[in-house]
Amino acid sequence: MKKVLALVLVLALALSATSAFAVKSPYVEKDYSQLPKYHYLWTQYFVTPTAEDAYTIKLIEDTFNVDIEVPNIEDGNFLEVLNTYIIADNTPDVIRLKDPSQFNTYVDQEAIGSFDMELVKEYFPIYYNGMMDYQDGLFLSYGSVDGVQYGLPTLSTGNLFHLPVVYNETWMKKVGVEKTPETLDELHDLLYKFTYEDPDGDGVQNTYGISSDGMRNVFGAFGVNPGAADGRTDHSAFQYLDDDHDGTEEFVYAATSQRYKEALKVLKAWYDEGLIDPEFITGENSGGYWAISHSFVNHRIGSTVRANYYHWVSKGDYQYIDENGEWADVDSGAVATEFYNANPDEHIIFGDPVVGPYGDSGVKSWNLLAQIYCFSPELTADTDRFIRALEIMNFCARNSTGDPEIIEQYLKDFYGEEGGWWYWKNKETGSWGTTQAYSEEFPDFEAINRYGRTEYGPSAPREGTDEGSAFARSLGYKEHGINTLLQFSLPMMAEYQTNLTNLKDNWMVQFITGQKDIDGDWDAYLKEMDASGLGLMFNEAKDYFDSTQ
Amino acid sequence: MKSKEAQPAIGKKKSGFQYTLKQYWKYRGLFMIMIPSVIMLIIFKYVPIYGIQIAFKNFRLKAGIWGSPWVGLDVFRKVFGMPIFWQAFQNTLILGVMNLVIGFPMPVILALLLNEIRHERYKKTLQTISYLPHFVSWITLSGLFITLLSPSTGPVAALYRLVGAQPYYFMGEVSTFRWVLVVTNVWKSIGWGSIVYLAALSGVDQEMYEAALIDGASRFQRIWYITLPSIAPTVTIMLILRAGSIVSDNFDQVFNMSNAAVYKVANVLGVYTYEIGLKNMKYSESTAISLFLNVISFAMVMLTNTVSKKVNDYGIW
Repeated sequence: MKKVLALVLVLALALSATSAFAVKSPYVEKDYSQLPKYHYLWTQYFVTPTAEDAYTIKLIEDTFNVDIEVPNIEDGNFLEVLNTYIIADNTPDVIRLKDPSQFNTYVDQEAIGSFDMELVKEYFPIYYNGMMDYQDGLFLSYGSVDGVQYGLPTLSTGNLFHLPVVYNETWMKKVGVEKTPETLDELHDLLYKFTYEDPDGDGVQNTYGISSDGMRNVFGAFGVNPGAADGRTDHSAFQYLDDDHDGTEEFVYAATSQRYKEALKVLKAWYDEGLIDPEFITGENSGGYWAISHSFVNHRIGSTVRANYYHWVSKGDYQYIDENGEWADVDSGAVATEFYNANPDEHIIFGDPVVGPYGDSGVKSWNLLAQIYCFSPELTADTDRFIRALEIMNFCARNSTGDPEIIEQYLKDFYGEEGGWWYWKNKETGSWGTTQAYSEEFPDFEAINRYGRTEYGPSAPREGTDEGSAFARSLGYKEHGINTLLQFSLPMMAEYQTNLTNLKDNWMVQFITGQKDIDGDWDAYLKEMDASGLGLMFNEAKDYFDSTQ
Repeated sequence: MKSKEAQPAIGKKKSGFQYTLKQYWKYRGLFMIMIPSVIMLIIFKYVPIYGIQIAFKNFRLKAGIWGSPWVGLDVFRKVFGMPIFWQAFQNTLILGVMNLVIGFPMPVILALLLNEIRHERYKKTLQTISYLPHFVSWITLSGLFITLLSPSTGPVAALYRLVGAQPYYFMGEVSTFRWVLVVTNVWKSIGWGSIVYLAALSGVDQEMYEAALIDGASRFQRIWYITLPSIAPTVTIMLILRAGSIVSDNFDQVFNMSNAAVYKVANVLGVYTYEIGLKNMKYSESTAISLFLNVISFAMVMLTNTVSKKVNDYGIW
């Protein structure tokens, strides 16, 4: 009896083991078992190390008759470790280059291979069509050098929304202001009250209007985004701007434009008035999670422009459909949570970028260009093997099609039947969620979560269909974002940019605090910037844009 | 006679060699213990020397260290031609000298003070407290110091106000930032640095103190005439080793504590090398800078050694 039971158990185990990977997705038409088996060294975005037998790896290996090897490279050291692979002549076949500014260096080093976009068009249509539908394929050009394609750029569509403008609503009410400021003058009046009318009610004059990040609102009122000195360096900050008010836009480096100079004068005046935290130099974040503005949380300032809208969302700002199909209040975002822990009786409110003297308004938005996927020269030289990789990426990018039927098939392939690991939030828009977050109790989910979804390669740019994105759209945060034109590095930028950014920040601080005179020392500033390579970097960028117009 | 005399000499030499071999065999256990350290030294200190050649090459990732083309001194010319390099070099040198002049004597003084404490438990507690900062990373400490030195909310500012003075923005002023670096560095390393001197102090013959006491020497005289000369060899050797660090900056510290306002004094070679080497992947340039600094470092060590031997007969070689 025991023997029979054991046999049944073994059979059941064997069956379940094989059936787990025997399901062939209806999406895949080709029979790959008749084709040669290929091996790939495939890099990924790693939150946790990838298990060799992760469910999704097996799924892809069995579906496409390939052998996928994943080097577990810790994300923080990705480039350093990647380079050791390249030096050892073992370049990964698929490379998720997380910092696009390094792209040109890898091309220059001949570490990555070029390929024909026709192959991408034919074998990776989800990505190709998605990119072509978005700003006429403009972003595809970020993966090419001198007309030759070396990479597949991906967009972070969450960055369509500009940085949030937030105020302490409780303070506003206390100083008798009902609505968030709409103009630069209104902003000034509110910040003045924040500074001098004791909004925190402790009887001591220890509050200010804004600190370093809040300055973005002022720069934006003059139409510029020179990059605030916040430790997350803005790339280059080239813009098209009607700097001389003649009705036509010129190509400018934001931090040497006349508009920037005017904004600096406003900030200098506000600094002298005491509206700006004199300690803005050491920033709003004093360690820990980067998004947090400790100055705001700890009652030093009443307004800031930092991180992303979702960090600042308060509980109940909008609702979403939970796994039971019912509407539920959204929880507070990471920064809001910190704020409410410290100040449980207060409230945060979102505002708009204020309008300046020439009718401009806006604040910085993070770069849309997120990563560039690149391939080893060995892979792109072997067309059949490259095509198979493209087909695998197409298989994994189905989540970004926006087509509920294709997405459903994708979910079934990767997560099993509906109601297990996943559920529809809104089937019509293709919005879905996972029923269980990763935890020790759900090791199966861990295996899936460790590896898979569309992160095998680039996906099509698609604006979020979730309630959070809808909320950001309702705030109007899709408009008035100021994006830097160049979201990757040209050779001269790679050479001079770091030092120029440091110099620019150094002068910015001195102009605002009055150590240098904005009018009197402006020429000296321009001269030093030019001597440090600004002219070379500017001309190179201008030539690049002139050639792409 | 002569040949007879020579005979035992050869025999002695032979037996000397055999004796050495025997000694090695006798202490084979101890030598075995040493092997891991030697291997580590070879792997992490000697093997990387091979990579120095990329300072003279146009380093190509695909071609590797050996396969990249030689370019002579082109990389050095390029690096030395950049004004920003000399600014960073100057900043590093100033910081290095300040750290040496102020930072070097401090652990010696602390060790001397600790040595004078007679209450054992009190002494041990003080020692432990002084070691503690050594174990905290700069990334943590930088946040701590920004808060401590804040002119509005920091305790230092509160002390200023207490005596009726205007609080100072130490972290945001070019004139004070270097001092912040030096003082915080001394605070972090003073306890740990004193260990060597305390060990040397424990080896001083106690009878000398007793004799001095009988002769009526005061406490200060005992320190001046007995303690200090006794630990002088250790201090000298530490100084020689430390002399090389005159061109090295504490990257972790400077990188984490600096801000836009003090960029012109905080831009030191460690930060500069990190930014061009690791962030911009210019490995040849960063290697060239490191090699340049190593040469200066080595020269400083040799110079200090020679001077020290001339002055007080102590030296490493």
